[in-house]
Amino acid sequence: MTFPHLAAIDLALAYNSEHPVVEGLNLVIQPGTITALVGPNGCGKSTLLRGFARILKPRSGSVELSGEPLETMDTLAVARKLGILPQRPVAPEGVTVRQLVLLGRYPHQNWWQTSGTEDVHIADAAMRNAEVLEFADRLVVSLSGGQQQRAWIAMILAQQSSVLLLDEPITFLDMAHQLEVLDLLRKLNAEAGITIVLVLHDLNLAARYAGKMILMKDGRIAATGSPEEVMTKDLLLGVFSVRCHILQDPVTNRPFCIPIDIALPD
Amino acid sequence: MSRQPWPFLICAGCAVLLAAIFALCFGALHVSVSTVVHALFLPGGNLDEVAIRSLRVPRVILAAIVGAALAGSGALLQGITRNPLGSPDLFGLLSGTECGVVVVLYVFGSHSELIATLAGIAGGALALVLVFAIAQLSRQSHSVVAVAIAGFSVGILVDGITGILIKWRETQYESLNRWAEGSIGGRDPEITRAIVPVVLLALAVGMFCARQLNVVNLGDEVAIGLGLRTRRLRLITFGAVLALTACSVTAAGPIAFIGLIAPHVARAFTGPDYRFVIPGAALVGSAALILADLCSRTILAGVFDELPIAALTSAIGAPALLFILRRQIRTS
Amino acid sequence: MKRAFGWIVLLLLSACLLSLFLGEYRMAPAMVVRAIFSHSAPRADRFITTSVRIPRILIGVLTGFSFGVSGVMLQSLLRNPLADPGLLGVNDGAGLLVTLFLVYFPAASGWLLPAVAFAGAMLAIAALLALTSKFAFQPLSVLLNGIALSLGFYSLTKIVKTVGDWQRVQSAIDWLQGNLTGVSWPQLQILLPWFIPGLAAALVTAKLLDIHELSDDSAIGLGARLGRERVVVLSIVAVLSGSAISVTGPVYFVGFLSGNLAQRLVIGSKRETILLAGFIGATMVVLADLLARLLIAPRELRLFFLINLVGAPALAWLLISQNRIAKLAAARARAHGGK
Repeated sequence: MTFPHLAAIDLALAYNSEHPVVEGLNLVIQPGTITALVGPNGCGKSTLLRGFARILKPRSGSVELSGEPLETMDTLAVARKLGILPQRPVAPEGVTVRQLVLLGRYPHQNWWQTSGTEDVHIADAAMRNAEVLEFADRLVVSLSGGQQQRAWIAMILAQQSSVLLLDEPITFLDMAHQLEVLDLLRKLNAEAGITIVLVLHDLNLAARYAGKMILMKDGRIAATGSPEEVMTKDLLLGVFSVRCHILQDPVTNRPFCIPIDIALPD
Repeated sequence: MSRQPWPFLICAGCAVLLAAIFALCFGALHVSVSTVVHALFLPGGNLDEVAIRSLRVPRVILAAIVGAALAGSGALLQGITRNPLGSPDLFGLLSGTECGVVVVLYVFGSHSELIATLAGIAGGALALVLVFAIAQLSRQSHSVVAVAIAGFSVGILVDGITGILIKWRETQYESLNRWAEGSIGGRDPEITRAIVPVVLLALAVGMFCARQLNVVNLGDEVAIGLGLRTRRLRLITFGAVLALTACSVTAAGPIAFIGLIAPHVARAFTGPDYRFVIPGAALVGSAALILADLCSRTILAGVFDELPIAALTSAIGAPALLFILRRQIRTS
Repeated sequence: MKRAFGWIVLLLLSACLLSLFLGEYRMAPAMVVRAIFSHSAPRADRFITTSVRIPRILIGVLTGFSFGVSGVMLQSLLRNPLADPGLLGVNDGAGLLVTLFLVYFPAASGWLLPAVAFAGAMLAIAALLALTSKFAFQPLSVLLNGIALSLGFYSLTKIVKTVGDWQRVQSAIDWLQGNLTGVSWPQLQILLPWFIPGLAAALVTAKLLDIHELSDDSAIGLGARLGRERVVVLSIVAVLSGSAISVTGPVYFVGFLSGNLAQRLVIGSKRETILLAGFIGATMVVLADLLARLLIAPRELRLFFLINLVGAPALAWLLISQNRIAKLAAARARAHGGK
C-alpha cells in the first residue's frame, strides 16, 4: 500500500452558485495520521471533507493526492486510494453485511467481473478487522447503530484505500458505540498505517483520539496542530464563543474541555 | 413578495364575479351587461334573456362550483398529506371516482345521481387506499415521490378499467364518451343544483379544519404534542375531499389540474396559512374554470368545435406542473 | 435462489406451451406438433402454428423480458421500488405520436406504426434527459419530471382524441390499450436488433447498479460516475421498453411487478436479478396474451387489462409480504438491542 498525502491548495468550495462555504484553504494531511476536523455548525468542515473526497468540485484551487490533482485523476483510481463514509449512510433494503462489504470491491473489479474468491477473502479480512465478521449474513438494517457503522467501515476497508474520510461517524451513537467506532479507527491507524480524517462534533473525543486537530470557522482554518495546541481557552472562545476550562484528562493525558458559559461577542 | 392574504381574497372574489359576467355576456351569442342583469333579476323577458337564464347561467354556475370544489379538494389534500402534489388527479381520486360513477350509472344502469355520487365516493376512497398501500412499498412511504408515483400508477390503472367499461357499454349509451371527457357543456342542470349545497358544506367543513391543517403541516408528532387529534382530522378532511371530488365528477366529469394548480397559485399570494389558502384556492379554481369554459365556447370554438374543458385544463396544467416540480426539486 | 429461477422458467415454459396449444382455432395437441414438424400437415394448421402462434409467443417473451429488465434496472438506478419504465414517459410519448399518426395520416402505411411508436418513446426520453440534466439526472428529478412529462403527453393525446375524426380515433384507442393481435415474424425482426444489444448492455451495466443503490456520496466514493452512468442506464431502459412498446402498445405494471418480485426472490448478483425479472416479465406477458385470446374468443381483449389482472395477485402478495417484512425488521431491531 502506498501512503499518499492529501493536500488542499488555495481551495474554495461552494454549493451551486452560492457564496463559497470554504475559501482560500491550504491544508496538508500527512500519511499515517489521524486528523479531526472540528468547529461550529456551518464552519465548512463537512464541506471540506467532501472536497477532499472529490464529491464537491473545487470552485477554485485544487485538491491533490500525492501531488496529483484529484480532478484530473480517473475516479476509480481515486476510489482505490480514498474511501469515504458519508453522514447517515443508507444501506439498500435486504442487503447483508457481506453484500455491503463486497460492494467495496467495486473499484478493483472490471465491468464483467463478479466477486471472485480473492474479493471474498479481502471482504472477510475487512469484516474481521472491523469486528463485524460474526454479522456477515445478517441484514445491515437489523444491526445496532455502532455495528452498522462498523459494517460501513468494513466496506471502505474492503476498498483497500489507504486514506479514510469519515463525516460525523459517531454523531448519532451512544457512548459505548462511539468508543467502539473510534477504537476501531485508532486500531486501523496503528496497525495498518491508514490515514484517517474525520469530522467530529465532540471536542474531547477528538482530542483523545486524533493526533492532529483542525479548528475551522467561517470556511477558514482558525488553528491547526496537536490537541494541546488547538484546545486552548482563547481559541475555543474565539471560534465557539464559549468560555471553557481546559483540564488534562487523567486517563489519556490529552486536553479536556469543560464549557462554562456562552460569551456573547463584543 | 410580502403576503397579503386579504387583498388577494378580495381580488380573487372580484375576479370570479368579473369572469362570471364575462361568461354570461359572451359566447355564441353576444349580449350586453344590461341584458344579463335583466335576465338574472327580472322574470320573463325577451328570447335573449330567457336563453341566458336557462342555458348560460347554469353553465357558469356549474363551472364556478366545480372549479371551487376541485380546487378546495386539492388544497385540503395538500394540507393533510403535506404533499405539494396533493390533488384529486395525482392521487388517483379523479380516476377512482369516475370509475365508481361509471360502474353504477352505466354498468348497473342506475338513474339516481345520488347513488352515482355515493359510488363515486366509494371509488375515490378505494383508489386512495390503493395509492397509499402501493406507496408503502417505497421506503419513505410518505415521501412526495412515492405517493406521486403510486397515484400516477393507480390513475392509469383505473382509467384503463373505466375505458374498457365504457367501450363495453358505448353502444347502449352514446353520450357516455362525451360525459367521460370532463366538460361543462351539455350537463344536467338538476345535478348542478343538487351539488351546490354539498360543495359549499364540504368547503365549510374544510375551512373548519384549516387551523388544524396549519399545525399538521409541522409533522404528525409535533401535531400530537400540541393536542391535535390527527386521526379524526384525517377522517374529516379525506371525507370532505371525497365529497368534493365526487360531486365534481358526477356533475362535470373528470377535470384535471385545477385541483393541483389552484392551491399553488393561492399559496403564492396568501402564504402557507390554510385559513386563506382554502378559500383562495376555491376562488382561483372558480375563476379559472369559468374562464376556461368561456374560452372553449368562444375563442377556440372556431378551431376545435367546442373542446372539452378537460383538454384545455390539461394543456395548461401540464407545463404548470413541470414548473412546480422544478421548484420542488430545487428546494429538496 | 436457484429454485426461484427454476420455478419461473418452468412457469414461462408452461405458459408458452399453453399458448401454443390453446386458441380460437381449435387444434388437438398432436395436430400442433405435426404442424410444426411435418410438411404433410394441413396448410391452415401450419399457418396458424408457425405464422401466428409461435411468433406471437416469441414476441410475448421478448417484450415481457424487456419490460421486466427495464423495471428492475430503473428501480435500482432510481432507488425506488415503485419505478416502472412507464414513469419515464415512454408509454405516453409513443401513445401521442401514434395517435397523431393514426388520426392525421390514415393513408400512411401500417408498417410505419412501430417506427412511429419507437420515435415517440425516444422523443419522451430525450425530453426527460433534457429536463433533468440540470439536476444531474438525480432520481428524484427523473421520477417527478417523468411523471409530469407522462401526464403532459397523456393530456395532449386526450386532446387529439377529442378533436380527431371519430373513426380514426377508434383505431388509436385500440392501439393505446395494448395488444399483440396480428403480430408475426416481421414484428420479431423489428424487435431483435434492439432486444439483443439492449439486453447485453443491461447485463454489462448490472454491476454499477449495485453501487448506484447506495447514496450519491457513497457511490462517488466507490468510483461511480453518476451523471454519465445514469444517462447510459436510462437510455438502455428507453431502448428496451421503447422497442417493446412499438410492438405491443403502451404497457404499464410489468416492469414494476417483475422488478419487485425479482428483488424479493433473489439474493444473488444484480445480473441474476435482472435475468429473473426478465423471465417474470416474459411470463406475465405471455399469460396475459393467452387470456386475451381466450377469454372472449373469437374477439380479443386488450392486453392492458389482462396484464393488470395477471399482475393483481402478484401485487397483493407484494403488499402483504411487505407488511410482514416491515414488522419482522422492527421486531429484529428491537431484539438486537435497538439503535
